[in-house]
Amino acid sequence: MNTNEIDETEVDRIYTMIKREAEDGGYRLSPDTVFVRALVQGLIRNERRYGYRACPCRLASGKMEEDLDIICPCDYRDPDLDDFGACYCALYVTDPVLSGQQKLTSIPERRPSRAARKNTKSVTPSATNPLSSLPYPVWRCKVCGYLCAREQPPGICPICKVKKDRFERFI
Amino acid sequence: MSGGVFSLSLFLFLESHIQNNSFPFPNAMGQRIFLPIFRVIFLFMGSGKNLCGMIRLINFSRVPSLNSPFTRFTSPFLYSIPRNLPTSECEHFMVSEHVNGKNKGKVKLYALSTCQWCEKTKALLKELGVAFDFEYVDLLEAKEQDDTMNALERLNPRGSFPTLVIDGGHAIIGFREQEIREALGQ
Repeated sequence: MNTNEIDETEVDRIYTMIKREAEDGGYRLSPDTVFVRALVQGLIRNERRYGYRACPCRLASGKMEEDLDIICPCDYRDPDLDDFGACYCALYVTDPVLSGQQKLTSIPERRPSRAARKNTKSVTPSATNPLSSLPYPVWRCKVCGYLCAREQPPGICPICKVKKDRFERFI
Repeated sequence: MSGGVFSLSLFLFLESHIQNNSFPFPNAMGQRIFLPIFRVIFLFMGSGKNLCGMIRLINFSRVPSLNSPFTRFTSPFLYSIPRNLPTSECEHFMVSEHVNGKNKGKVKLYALSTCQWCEKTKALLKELGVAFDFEYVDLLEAKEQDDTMNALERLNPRGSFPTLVIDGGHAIIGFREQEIREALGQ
């Protein structure tokens, strides 16, 4: 009767997938599996509710183009890993946290406020930049910083596995 | 007395339909008919599970309150549930709720139903035995969500979760266990 119920096997499947993708790219998931599974459930719930895996610890708008920055893994994961040893949800952690050398703390929100997000426009490189005469444009993955020089960004980032729409024109 | 018997038989009637996941009335009509009846029913009995079952069938956008016999009548719309919320979410989450406990002023927790740090904060408040209200902002309807976010952003400009507001002024942003214990502990 409950077709919307998230069963354990689905959580297992997504959890395994996220873990493999993370480890392939050199990232680590939190060792607290109960906590991580609860987050994965939140991701599945958000995917069903909004159509994309919005961060379970942030309020999604329901409009994908406004929430690209918080689709997991979010644009803020890597800076938070650098500064706090974990992403905002503590789904992803660094090795020192994984080994217990560093303790987790509450992480301040890095995503700009609703009002600030409305006012920011994406920065495109100026045509006067001497590098813009390069034979190919350079695309940057906003999640992990991967750069590639080609006509179009790749469909999926080879490092962090996010989709093409998370790339920005860098040069 | 006869009112009680009527409510009881109606309740059992609804209950049997809920078990079968069917309901004999179209939504709009069901809502109009059953809103007053709901209030009577909850005078006598009411459990969250049955409540959710009824809401699902009748498709109320808001759920009558279960807090106390008093609030059932004064503010029957304390709980609210988005209309198109999947069944499983309706059963798992009350959108907003009052948790009874020691009075430490007006304590309000802004949370998300998917957020684990919000759950940790809620568990801590329950451990401390403090009376508080919480709200799952992600489950609110658009207009209500917007109003709630505007109120939240006045205290926490980033509008992040969890945000714990004490007496309408002091905001503790994030799961800051020590800070929460100091503000609300013995």
